[in-house]
Amino acid sequence: MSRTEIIEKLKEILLAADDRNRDKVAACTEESRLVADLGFSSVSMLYMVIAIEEEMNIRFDNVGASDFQTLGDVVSYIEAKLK
Amino acid sequence: MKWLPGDPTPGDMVRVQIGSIFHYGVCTGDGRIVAFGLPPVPAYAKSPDRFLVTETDMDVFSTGRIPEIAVLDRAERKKRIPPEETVRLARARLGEDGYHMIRNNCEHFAYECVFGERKSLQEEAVFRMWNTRPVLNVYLAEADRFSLDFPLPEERKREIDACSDRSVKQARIANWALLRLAAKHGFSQDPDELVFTRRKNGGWTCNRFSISFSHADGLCCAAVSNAPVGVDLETAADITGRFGADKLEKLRARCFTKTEREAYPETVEGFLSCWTRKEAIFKASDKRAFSPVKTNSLTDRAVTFTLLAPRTPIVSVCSEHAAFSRLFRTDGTAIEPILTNEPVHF
Repeated sequence: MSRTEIIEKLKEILLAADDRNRDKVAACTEESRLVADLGFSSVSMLYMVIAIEEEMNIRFDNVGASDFQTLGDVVSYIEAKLK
Repeated sequence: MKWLPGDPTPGDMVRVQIGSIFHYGVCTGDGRIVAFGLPPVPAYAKSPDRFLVTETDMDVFSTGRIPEIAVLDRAERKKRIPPEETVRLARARLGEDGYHMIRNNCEHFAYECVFGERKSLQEEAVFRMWNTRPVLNVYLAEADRFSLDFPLPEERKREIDACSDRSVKQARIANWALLRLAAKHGFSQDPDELVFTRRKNGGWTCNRFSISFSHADGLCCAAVSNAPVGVDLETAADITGRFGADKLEKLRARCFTKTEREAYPETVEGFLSCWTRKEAIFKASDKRAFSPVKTNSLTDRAVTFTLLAPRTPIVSVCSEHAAFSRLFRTDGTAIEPILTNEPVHF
């Protein structure tokens, strides 16, 4: 899976969780910051992690995932897990 | 200054111990003492001179107890008013009233007659106790009530300016506005005199007390305490619908210990009670990384407030002063306690 494919999958997951920010999610890039740009809360972060695990058949080491600052950080983590 | 038993000479500061407090006066000669108020003993409880500057015999002043005389060190002897002037000053104030047990008492009077400045070690002890009392206040508000019309630490201002999500930006501004209210309300501190620094875990602290922030679903909260503090806020309304029962169960399995899974109900409220406690505990710690499953929420150091619908805010706060936690709501001006909800302990 390429980074572009991963980010598209992430957008699907985010929209399924909450479609109130449809425009923002559609326009997001790897540089988008999870909290400051996308308005993530800690629980949104949890939802994303669980949904990614289900959709991509991977397992996050720490479900708290407080290390992720940007969407690119999440993409890099998934990329490494998929190798 | 040392206190020793003995016979006072004119201008000496004298005291007697009555229970746990001291009664102070100034010797004016010939066994006479000027003091602010009569000794606090039942014999003088109804005397009209009870709270006036009064000159009495040593017997009245000491009420049968052993008087002690202030023995001044060299610096104090240089600083003191000449004894004859002390006597004159004390007698010039005979009949004065305005006594206050803490702010204007017999010790203030005697010290002022001897040194020309007001001081009371007993007052200082009372304020020391007051300032070190356990404080843990949590303030909750709607985030849209606040605007950025106050100074911020430069680093935080840059972060808020760079925030493109409007609700996060507004909540962060509101959190700092709440903190300013909390500084005045909880600690009688001028918020402009506070110095803020970043903590290891990314949170903030200030030079006078500990602080913690959280926001969710249009609400914001700030916690202040004189012990390390962490606070976390979520609303059940924000989560309901987003998490089906299957995902909630997965999260419980991934985030909670076995004991926690047994302790908290399998509901959104139950999940958020545990989750917010874990976050609050992490924020109160100096740990850099948050590991939910390794953070034990079942501790007396954390308290959870579950408020009422429609949004059902759930606020958890962690501090060694958790037992003293108080929750307030504010509209940005008035602050009122939230009394109807008792802390929920697990």
